[in-house]
This record gives sequence, structure tokens and C-alpha cells, in this order.
Amino acid sequence: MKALMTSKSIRLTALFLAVAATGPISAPVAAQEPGDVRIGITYTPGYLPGLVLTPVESGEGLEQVARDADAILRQDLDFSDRFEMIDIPGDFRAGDAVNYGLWNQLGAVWLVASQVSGSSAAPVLRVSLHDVVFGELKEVRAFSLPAVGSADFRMAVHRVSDQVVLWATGEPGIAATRIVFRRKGAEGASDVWIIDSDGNGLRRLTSDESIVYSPDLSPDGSHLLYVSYVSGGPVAYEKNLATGAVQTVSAEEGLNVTPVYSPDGNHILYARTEGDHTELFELQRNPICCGRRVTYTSVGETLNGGYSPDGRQLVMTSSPLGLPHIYVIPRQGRGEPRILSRYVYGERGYATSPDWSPRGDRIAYQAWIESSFQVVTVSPDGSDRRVLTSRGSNEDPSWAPDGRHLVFASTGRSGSAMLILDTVTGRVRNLTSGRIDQLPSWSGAL
Amino acid sequence: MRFKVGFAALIAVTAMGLSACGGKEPPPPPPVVDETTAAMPDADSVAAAELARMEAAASQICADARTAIANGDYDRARRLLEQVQRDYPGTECANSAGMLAEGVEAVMVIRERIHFEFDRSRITDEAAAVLQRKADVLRNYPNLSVTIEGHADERGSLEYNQALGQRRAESARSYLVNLGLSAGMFRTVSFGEERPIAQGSNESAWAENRRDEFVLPNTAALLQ
Repeated sequence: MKALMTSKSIRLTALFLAVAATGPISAPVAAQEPGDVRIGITYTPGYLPGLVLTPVESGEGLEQVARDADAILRQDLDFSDRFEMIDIPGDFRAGDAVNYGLWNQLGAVWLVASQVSGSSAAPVLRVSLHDVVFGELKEVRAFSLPAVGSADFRMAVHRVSDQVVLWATGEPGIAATRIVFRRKGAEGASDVWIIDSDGNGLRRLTSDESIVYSPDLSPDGSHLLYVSYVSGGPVAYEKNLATGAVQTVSAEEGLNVTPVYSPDGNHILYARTEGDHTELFELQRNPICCGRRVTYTSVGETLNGGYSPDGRQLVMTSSPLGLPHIYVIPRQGRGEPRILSRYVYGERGYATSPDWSPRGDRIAYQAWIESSFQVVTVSPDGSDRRVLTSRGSNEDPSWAPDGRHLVFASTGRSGSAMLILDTVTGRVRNLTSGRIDQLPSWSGAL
Repeated sequence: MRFKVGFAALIAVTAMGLSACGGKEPPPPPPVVDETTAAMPDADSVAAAELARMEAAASQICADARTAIANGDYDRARRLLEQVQRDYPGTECANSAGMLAEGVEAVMVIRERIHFEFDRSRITDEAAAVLQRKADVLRNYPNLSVTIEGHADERGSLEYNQALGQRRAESARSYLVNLGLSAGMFRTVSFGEERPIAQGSNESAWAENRRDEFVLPNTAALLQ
């Protein structure tokens, strides 16, 4: 654990992590006793290949572009949690850039070298990935960037970072993503905000001066679903982020809550009051129409619906037995709900707010464990339950597109924060802190 | 200030008897009293002056009661209206106070909160008694509309607590409907754990916050 908490990772005394190394989920583990999931017992650090990013080179007049791109790439590759970032030696000379022997000696497996050319109005970033061990060039590509200082510049460099991650690991990165969440303001009012996954680009998306809940971005990032009390009660809305236009998704009497987009962006799943309780409904989108009742719980509340990445199954919070638990059902037909959050001795058995990993192999949720909420993940077949946090209260986990990072709202003695956890290495960093930020939802690749 | 206008309008269309104690300042004695006073012997003059003093004092209490009503402080309004009936009987204000006090009492019964057990929406025996009292009052005002707000304590997830609050509001509505009231009289809304009335993370704060509030968007029908 110690080794992995070095470099730039933020040490959190308020939150200890007990993260098992993921990997093939082939050997289901029986539900663990709470005693087994205390601090740092199942934490098996995996091997992280060393990566060195040599300083981004530039032609005349492009020094600032190079510096900006360098800082973004360096932080993105670090935040991917896929590599052991290797520091550039103090006596580094530009001529050493592709000196495989030198980098091999320093423990690097990957070398990323890059240059900026073109003009500051239309810079081009040429990036090459080298396999230091085999001493060969693996990939090279030139990326056109928007002008320095333009609103899209950072996101364009983030996409370059994600390409490097994809080249080196075959897996998607998370740099070119954003997180929507609700931030509480004065006197209990709240609004929807958005932030880049690296903590930049914070801005407000709604200004209802009311109560908002449950923001969710469309897969292409162009639209926002959310719930607002601006008309007096909880109504589900969709906002076009380009035009600012807002349309009502559902405004039935009672609840219209927890709306989410289907993975293809063509449907909306949400919960609303049916008789005296809450059930899931699905709407078509573009244009919004044709509500279809999805669940027939009849007793208890069903909400917090979410899709499996292939769109064929749904995960949800439901309380037919009294306390809420996590269930999976087929999206079509009336299949019997399958419970995922099993009763564990000594726990009250209260589990809500599930999110299905974009990789499909895990479902994250929050469970009441020893008088606070903790983030738990489980295989979709209900096996291999892992409690990932054990200090403070940790709620509303949402998966990054890489299916290994989670963002969640955390409250501890030091206050409130949104944290990003890498479920493989256990590394944690603050996304925001010092404000009451809740209900985060991670976008797809933007 | 907003209330002042609304209230003035309310008074204009309601009991004429109340209009005398409408202003902030005690009204000047009407000219007719002046004439009488001038023609009266001293003792009567003293009595008339005393009467005018009583009217003025009572009128001030009525004004205060109305301010209390406008501010939603029904407890204070009720105390003031009781006081004016006890201490200034026969004044215009006291004569109309009985009706107004009844209205205030009705508002208080309708607004009385009910509370719930942890993670439950079941109507407790205590809540049932409160709802029975409400039903007895509401039966007399079939055109009234009441918003039932369901609330949860801070434990539980934000979104599930929205559902729990809704269930608590629905629970009270169906109890009242079973007592013979029209379902259309009630609108339900859940605020989840957004609006605690007691701060703190302890059982007494939680118990207070697990509740239904009964909101009257328009009290005019009751306070005329």
C-alpha cells in the first residue's frame, strides 16, 4: 500500500481503502464478513509499467503551447493510474529523448516523446510511443489542436492522452471525460455543476435557485438530464447544453426522479410515483414519448435505475422486503428481479444507488456498513462482493468509462469532498473539496 | 410587506366588524362620538373616553394578531385573540375575534405535523390521532386544498429518501381519504432529506425530521 500511495497521490487520513486487485473475476468469493473487509487487508498492488514522458519539444514561438500540452499530458498519464511515472533526470538533454538504454536503466517500459509544430493558432502535436524494453517505436501520430487558450484546448490534449493510454494498454483512458454533480449553495439551494475529470473547467449548468437531484449526461455529452424542484415538486428535465433549452421529461404528480440515458442515448429510464409507491418507467427520446412501465414492484419503492452496457439488463434500487437492496432485471419482459446486495451478518442491509460499470463486469453501489455508507462493488451475478471504503461516509459511486475508476461523494471529519478512486491500485485523489458536492455522474468519453 | 396588501384585501371582503381595527394606528374616534361627548355630563364623558381607549387597545391587539397570522405564527395569534376576548369584551375586535380564533385553531389543527419511525411510512397511533383531528376540521371545508409534504431524516441515501418522503406523504393522504375526505383535496410532494427542521445527527433531531408537513396554500377560507 505504501508504495502505491507515493508520487502525487493524495494521502487521505480520513479514508482508508481496502481494495482487492481486480483482474479476471473468475473465482467468485463468498460474501465477506465485515471483519474481513477492514483496513487494507485485501490490497494487492499490481504491477505498473514505468512510463517516461520527455518534455514536449517545440519550434520557435510555440513554447507556451508545448508547456501547456506537457503539463496536461503528464498529469493525465499519471491520473490514468496505469503507469509508474518516471521522473526526468536533472541532467536530461534533448538529445537523450530516444535513448532506450538510459530509460531502460531508469525502469521505464514506455517512452512518450512529442513535439509541437505549426502555429499557435493551429498547433499540431506529434506524439510517439516507444517500447523501451524491445527498443522500438510502437505508434506515432500527429494531432491537430485548437488554438491555445480556446475552450477546447485542454479537452483536445486529454484525447491525445487517452490515445496514448489506449496504445500502451489496449484500454480506454479517462482524461477526456467530465463529471456532473449537484453542489449545495446557501440556504439549502442546489444546482447542477460540471467539472473535467482532472478538476479543471468547473462551471454551473443550471441556475434554478431551487433543489436539484440526479444529474446525468447524455453519452455524447450534449444533453443533461436532471431533477429540479423549480416548479414546486420533483420534475425531470432535459437541458440542451449547447442552446440552453430545457424541456420537461416527466412532470406527473409525486416523484419524477433518477433519470438516466440508455447507453445508445435513445431512451430515458426514470422512476415515478405509481399509486402510492415508486416504479421504473422508460421513455423514448427524440422526441420524448411513449412511456413504458418497467417494474411491477407493487410493494416498496423502485428507483435508481441503470442500464447494463449492452442495454439488455437493468440494475435498480428496490425495497419489496422493506429495506432497499440492489436488484438486476432483464430490460424487456417481466423477469424475476435478482438480488445482488445480499444480507451480511451484522449489517442492516440497506443498499442503494447502483451503477453498472461500462466494462460490464462490476456493479458499484452504496451500502450501510457499521453506521455509515461505504462504496461496494459486486459482480453482476452477485458474487465477489468487495467493500472499497471504510472511513467516513461514501456515497453515490459512478464509474468512469474505463470501468476501473469510481467517483463518489465523501463526508468525513475533514468535511465533504468528491473523490476519485482507482479500484485497481487503491489510489485516491480529490476531485473537489470544501463544498457539499453530491450525486456525481461520470460521462462517457467526450 | 407583501402580506399587508394581501391581508388588507382579505379584510375588505370579510367581516365588516373587523374593518375598524384594520389600521396600524388606533382609528380616531368618529365625529358622532365627539358630538355626544360634548353634550354629555362628565361621568358619561369619562366612560366614553374609557370605551374609546378600550376600542383602541383592542384594535391594536387585533392588528397584532393579524400580523402574527401573516407571519405564520398561529400560536401567538391564538393567544392574542383569546386575550382580547377576555380583557376587552364588547369591543368590535373582541366581537369578531371568536370567529377568527376558530379559523386559527382550524389552521393549527390542519398544520400539525405527524412523525414516523425510522425508514417507515406507517401511520403510528399518535399520528392517527392527529390525522383524525384534521379530518374532523377538514370536513367543514370541502373546497380547501392541502399540500402534504413528506420528509426524511439525514440517514439513508439522498434519492431513496425522496421515495421515502413521497411514501410518507401518500400514507397520510390515504389515511385521510379512508376517513372520508376527497383525495382531490390533497397534493403530495416529497422533499427527501432536503429540509430538516432540527439540526444535528442524533436520534431526537432525526425523529423530528421524519415527518409530514401540511401546508395550506391559501388560508383565506379559514381566516375570514
